[in-house]
Amino acid sequence: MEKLSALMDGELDDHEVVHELTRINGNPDREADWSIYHMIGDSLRGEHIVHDSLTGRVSARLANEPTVLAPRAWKMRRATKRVALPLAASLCGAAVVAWLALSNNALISPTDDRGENAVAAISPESVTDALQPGGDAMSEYLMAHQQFSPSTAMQGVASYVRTVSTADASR
Amino acid sequence: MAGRLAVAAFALAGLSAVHAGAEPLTQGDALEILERISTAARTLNYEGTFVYQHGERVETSRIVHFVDTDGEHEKLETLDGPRREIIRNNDEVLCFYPDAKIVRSQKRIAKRSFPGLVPEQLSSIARFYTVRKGRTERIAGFDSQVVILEPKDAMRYGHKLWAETSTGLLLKARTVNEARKVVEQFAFTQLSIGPSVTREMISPSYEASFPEWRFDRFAQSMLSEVETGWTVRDFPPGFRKIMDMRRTKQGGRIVTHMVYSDGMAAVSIFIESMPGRSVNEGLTQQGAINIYRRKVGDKLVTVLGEAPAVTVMQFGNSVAFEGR
Repeated sequence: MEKLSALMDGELDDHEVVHELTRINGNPDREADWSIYHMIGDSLRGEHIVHDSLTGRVSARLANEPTVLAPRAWKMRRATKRVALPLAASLCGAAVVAWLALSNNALISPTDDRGENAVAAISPESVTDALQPGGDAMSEYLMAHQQFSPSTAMQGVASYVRTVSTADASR
Repeated sequence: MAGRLAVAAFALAGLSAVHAGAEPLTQGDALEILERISTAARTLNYEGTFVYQHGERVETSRIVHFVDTDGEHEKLETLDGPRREIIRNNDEVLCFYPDAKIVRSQKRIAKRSFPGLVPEQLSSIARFYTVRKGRTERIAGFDSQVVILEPKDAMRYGHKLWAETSTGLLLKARTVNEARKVVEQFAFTQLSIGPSVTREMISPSYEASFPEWRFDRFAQSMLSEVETGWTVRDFPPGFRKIMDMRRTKQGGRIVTHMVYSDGMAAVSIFIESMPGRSVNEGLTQQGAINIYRRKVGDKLVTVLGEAPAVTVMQFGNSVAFEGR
């Protein structure tokens, strides 16, 4: 586990990098760890967007196969919580890592019982756009939210542009 | 968990102090500046073009704000992409989607007093943000005073505001995350303040009564927490509940809506029965807005707000039904 962390932080030499990548490649559990660490890293840096779709797809897949996946996902959550904690480099990191592990549960378990990478296996068609910010239901909620946002008090209706933004409508 | 987050908060606060520029403003001075910005937005006549930037996208819109004896009138038109228009007359906001022939209507029940709606929120800003005056910078041809709000913990974003020197009107607003990366930015590129703004400029291009248009009303009525039965057990420090509502969607679907705010950011929680169609749970983001969805019992909980993902998710994960 420490090796994975060191690899992510670019602290391994070339030989170790090759060795570590070989160990990850093809091992679903290690690949899962690898993506989780990247998710955590991205979260700490505030870069959520890529993984939002990832967790969405994973959860969509889990929703489709609840009986097969749910018990295993729960076990993985417990395991992840234990291993992820010592890896965090800072106090802040520790808080966010533990927090992600506790709250994301099924979302951070990107393997299924066949051992294949569930993230890759999910076809894009299985994902609806109900959660997209530009989607119909969401713009209604954004509009309802906007009247209470201090940003509206400071810049008037300009902040409502969020509710009609076309950012994700094309998906 | 709360303890760990608090420790993280102090660690961050320590870090940000290192980067400090100007001396922090006193609570009174800070609130005075924010109050001035809010008053300018409410009372001035202005029209201009602004860009809304989020992620790698830039969208241009035109806005007109006009005040007369009836109160405030505002019009926003998007200039890029599909045509969208927002019309506000005091408490009523209409949102027109001409391509889809849909108009959405919402009556605002909130007062426009800034910051926040209750006096306790004023102290929230001072307690959870360090407010500093920056330099004078030129935006859209106007001199502006830079104001920086630096969060003292990881539960809220930072803000950089550019307020026009003589009136206080907000010319530019930038929201940054804990890595100091810009998550969202509004900026005027052209602006006129004052008498050149006329009543004609606020007349809507569309009408809510157009035949063949779908009219969606998202009605709201005030309720107490006891009446909704829903609560948030463990919400982030600095946030306070400012509203409990029951909303009715077009077609009669009931949605419970709770709002929390720390004075600079608001987080909304929507609770409804699971819709018939499949729903994705999880986290998504648009600019400064994070959206988090999860099932709680047989209900669907949607949390959204201009706050970091951790904050929005903490709200979502501590929503609970405590009613009968």
